[in-house]
Amino acid sequence: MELDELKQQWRELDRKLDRSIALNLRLLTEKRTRRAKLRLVPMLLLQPLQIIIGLALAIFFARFWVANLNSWPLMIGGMFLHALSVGLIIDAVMRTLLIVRIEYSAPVVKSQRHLALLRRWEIRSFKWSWVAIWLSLPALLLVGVKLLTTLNLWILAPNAVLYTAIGALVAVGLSYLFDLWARHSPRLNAAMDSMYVGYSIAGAKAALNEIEEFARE
Amino acid sequence: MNVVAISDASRVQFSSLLEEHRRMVFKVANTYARAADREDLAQEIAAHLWGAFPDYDSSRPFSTWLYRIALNVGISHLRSRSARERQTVPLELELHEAADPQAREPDADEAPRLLEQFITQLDALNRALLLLYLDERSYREIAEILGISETNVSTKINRLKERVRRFGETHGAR
Repeated sequence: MELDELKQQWRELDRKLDRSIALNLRLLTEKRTRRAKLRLVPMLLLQPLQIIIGLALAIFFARFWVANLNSWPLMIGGMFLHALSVGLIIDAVMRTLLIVRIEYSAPVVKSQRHLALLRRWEIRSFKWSWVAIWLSLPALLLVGVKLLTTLNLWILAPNAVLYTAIGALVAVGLSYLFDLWARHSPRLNAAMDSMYVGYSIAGAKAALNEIEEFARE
Repeated sequence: MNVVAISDASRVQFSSLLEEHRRMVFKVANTYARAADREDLAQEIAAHLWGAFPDYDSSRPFSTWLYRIALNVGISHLRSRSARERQTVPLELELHEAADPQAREPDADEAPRLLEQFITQLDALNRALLLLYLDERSYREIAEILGISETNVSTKINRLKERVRRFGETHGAR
């Protein structure tokens, strides 16, 4: 079988297809076209909001740790939450830069590369946000108690902070072990792949590798 | 992502261009979607085309512009389906009844079935390349649509030819 022999079959398939599809493209509803045009817009509009929230939190926590230089646990807790707020800003800026580069009328390899990069960023951001949430618990506890009651929890009940920190580290460790297990278990990997609907890290990496391989001469 | 209002004249122009090139939309939908999703994908492509139409540069070929958008939407559609689903529900099973090639008598349906089987086992970008080649696009236009060099197009077509030959041998095609 030669590739050029397939052309004849392709033409035949094309004729069958043209006859069998009754869909009239001119009958596309306005609703559907409007929805397609606006699909990436909400995602893009959320990013300035995230930047504003991140900026407000960064200023708030910076002021907090500067005001608590005399207590190292409060200072470190404030610094940690300050760093997370900066992370929120960086995440939104990166996502914005990746979204604005996506242009469906650009050459296929280029747009698919940008889409794959956005997908990879979203999955990584999702995973890291869980780590950040767990790790921020002891800091939130310290900072929250200080802000609500003006009391220093580290002096009153240091064990409460330590146990929360240990619990958070255990949760992160367990998540990491689960991730490692998933990577080495084809069944679990497939289940996770299916759960993310093709949006797993492995899927994003495979798509990027496929694109790079195709673009290479 | 142009969200400005499109004039009636543009709408008429778009409808006419789309009608003229509708087969291209269906070919891409046929290449990247299962039978059940094909109509949806065709509409999805048309909706993307309509959304991007205000940015279309009429001094450039409409077919190149259409193919880029249609293939991007088609590939995204294919990638958004889970890897598991892709492995267990091949496209051709819904186009033609799956059957053991060894047990079948060669008939008129054999060649299109082989073509569809061959398309299904290709990755998303090679499917695009094959579709454009079978549609008799020039190497230059294929390069422009895909965003790779003409030399690369030529190299990859040669590899596809080799793959078709091997596929034919293993699937008993004459």
